[in-house]
Amino acid sequence: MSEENQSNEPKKKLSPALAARLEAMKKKKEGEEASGEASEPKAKPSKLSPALAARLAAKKTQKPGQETSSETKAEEPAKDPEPHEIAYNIIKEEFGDAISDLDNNPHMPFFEVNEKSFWPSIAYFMRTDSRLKFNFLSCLSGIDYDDGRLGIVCNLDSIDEHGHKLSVKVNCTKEDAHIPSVAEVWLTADWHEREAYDMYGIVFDEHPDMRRILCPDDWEGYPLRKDYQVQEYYHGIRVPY
Amino acid sequence: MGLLDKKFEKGGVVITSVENVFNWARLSSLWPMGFGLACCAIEMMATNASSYDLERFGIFPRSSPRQSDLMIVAGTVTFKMADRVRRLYEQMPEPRYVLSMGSCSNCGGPYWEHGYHVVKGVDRVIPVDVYVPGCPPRPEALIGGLMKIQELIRVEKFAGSRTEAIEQISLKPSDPETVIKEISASAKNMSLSES
Repeated sequence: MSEENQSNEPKKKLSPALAARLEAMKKKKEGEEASGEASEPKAKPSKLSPALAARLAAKKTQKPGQETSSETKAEEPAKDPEPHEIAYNIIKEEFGDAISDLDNNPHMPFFEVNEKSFWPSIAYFMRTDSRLKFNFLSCLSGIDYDDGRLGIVCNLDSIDEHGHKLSVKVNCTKEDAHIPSVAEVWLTADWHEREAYDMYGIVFDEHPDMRRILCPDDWEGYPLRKDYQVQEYYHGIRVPY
Repeated sequence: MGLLDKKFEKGGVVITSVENVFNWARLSSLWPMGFGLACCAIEMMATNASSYDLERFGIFPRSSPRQSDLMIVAGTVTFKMADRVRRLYEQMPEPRYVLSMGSCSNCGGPYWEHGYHVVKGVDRVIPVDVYVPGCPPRPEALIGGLMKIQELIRVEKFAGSRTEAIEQISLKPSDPETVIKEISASAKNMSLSES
């Protein structure tokens, strides 16, 4: 049974959808999957995200309570994959070891980008892939971890498409504070990256306009770094209290 | 001054000094520069609006520093803004007055320690004549500050310096307690005489 059936006509056939859900869970357990099988059919524009389709199917099965009841009982111990988990699996499938495991906390599920040079292509994939469609960058924040690492956190949403959300962390060291820019992928990132540069001194490579955004151009230091010391004078005005 | 309060009884002649007339004219039409930097500006706008009606003091904001006598620094002065504040001050014609409104422009306010971007008092940039405390100050407090400026202008000498005038004011300190008592007493008298 192909995935097309599931997405195009979930009303008539219940079992294919369930099977797809089972399949997804198996993938999760074994971590072994054929990338072609999953991505090819879904690349065709289908309105329903896999998670949504699976949920719809689950609802339908409860009503008629037909021959599928035994199957649902068997599933109960395992949880349905959340939409963001499905999205993560798709990204993991594409990029493999370039991204970390999913930190599946209830507040802000995220994964880290291990190899920061992959970040723009990951971003582009997350934005454009028809199963992901992370079309909205809610926020891009900078972080100083106070252990020699700096980083950014990107909160991504798929608004009006799949409705899922996922966060991405990209890190760099203080000595080599460079992260590739994603301003080309999400225009929102333009000013957010400038702010992260202004406050943390993270240089975003290939950014169209890498300048300070809040502090004056001739300000010294990066104010939100943990080891920041204010300068003594600015334009002849004493800075400390 | 009371020039207009007193009736021109005998032949319509008033004898006074030029200094008094000049000072009276200056303090009766203080034109502040219309600019605000933060939430204090909201209180300043409220003071300008109908409830508090600063125009009864002859005070109304001007859009150009070249037409202003008074700068009300209403809000947080950042280092980025400090250069602009200084330039605006330099564009004002003399004699000019500066009223620092609210904790931020007085001393940095809540940003005094961790606000790397805030000037710890606008007096590090331009000379200040009157400080109005508050966060933000109520319109009454701002009016009080403006009346202090009027008081300062009133005692200024033609050939004297500003510091002399300030010294003269400080010689007669006013205890707020007694002022409040005096005013409430006079208000009671007024209400008694009306009824």
